[in-house]
Amino acid sequence: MQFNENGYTKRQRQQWMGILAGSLTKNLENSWQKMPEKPEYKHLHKPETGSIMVRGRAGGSGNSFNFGEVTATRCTIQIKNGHVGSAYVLGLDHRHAELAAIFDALLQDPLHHCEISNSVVSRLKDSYDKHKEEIAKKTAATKVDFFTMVRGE
Amino acid sequence: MLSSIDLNKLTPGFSDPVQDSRQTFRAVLDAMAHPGRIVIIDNFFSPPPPLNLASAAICLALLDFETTFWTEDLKAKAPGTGWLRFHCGCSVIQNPLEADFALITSPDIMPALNEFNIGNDENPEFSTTLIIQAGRLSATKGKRLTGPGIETFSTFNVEGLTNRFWQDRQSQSAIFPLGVDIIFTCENRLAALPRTTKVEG
Repeated sequence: MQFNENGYTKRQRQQWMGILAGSLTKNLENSWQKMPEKPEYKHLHKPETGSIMVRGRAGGSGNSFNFGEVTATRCTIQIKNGHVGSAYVLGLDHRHAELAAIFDALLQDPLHHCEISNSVVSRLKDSYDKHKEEIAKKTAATKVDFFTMVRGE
Repeated sequence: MLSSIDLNKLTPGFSDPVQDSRQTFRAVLDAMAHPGRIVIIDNFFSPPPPLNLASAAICLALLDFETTFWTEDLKAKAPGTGWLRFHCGCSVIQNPLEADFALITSPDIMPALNEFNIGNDENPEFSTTLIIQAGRLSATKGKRLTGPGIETFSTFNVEGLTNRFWQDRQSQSAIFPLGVDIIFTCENRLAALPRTTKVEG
């Protein structure tokens, strides 16, 4: 595993960015409001909404094809000591992208990493996992298995 | 690719991207329509060196992921180039001949004008637009400009350009309608020299 100079792996960052992007805005806002000392930050990219082409593979194999466009909002934040956080979240919620980017910046900062990881990400992860599981269950219920009957001789 | 930019040193661009881009576009339009007229970019932000405010604003307004861009120092670690790549998402290319836009920060050692894209007969508008960061721009004495957008004639001077540059510019008149369009910038001021303008003196 390759750690960068701040002590986290690319995979770890992907994970927390995914959790931040997939959580509800009100949960992120709660965590933010609970922070005793709010860090100073500035916008490198203010939250802006655009569309992204989602590509996928049918059944998880074969060539990927353009599945469709989704609306996404992105934001890039710089906290006072220079760490830069980014967020790409589905939908139109500017505040969601902003908070996710702030937390991403804080998580990259060795000074804040442990605190945010324990108090924010781990808590968000529980509801994120639950939410994902629900969606997976709902989707699984609609699954259709195709099969071909062999014609008798 | 983005990881090679020094993110920690980045500064913000336009504070209001929509309005500021529109105002900058308007300024460039005004300058292009009136060759030699000095137009002021009324905005404030801190672009990294070697970019001046006017060049940075023009790039933020005109460059995006579909435009190709060339400048003298192409390394992502170069503060100006990294900043433009981050904010504009433009692709930085090695060959000035393929560039939609080129930024020149040291006009004394710039490539000859025919090393940029001059367009082709079917699509003369595919040529490179040069943004040249020069010394002082002045409209009181210097070259005599005539052509579309100028009622009689206007006077115009840019400090820091070589004689070779003006010779190059002169020889471009022979290949019209091909050729490059040029925007000169200095601090928060800009002036344009489109290919239609005739330069004398």
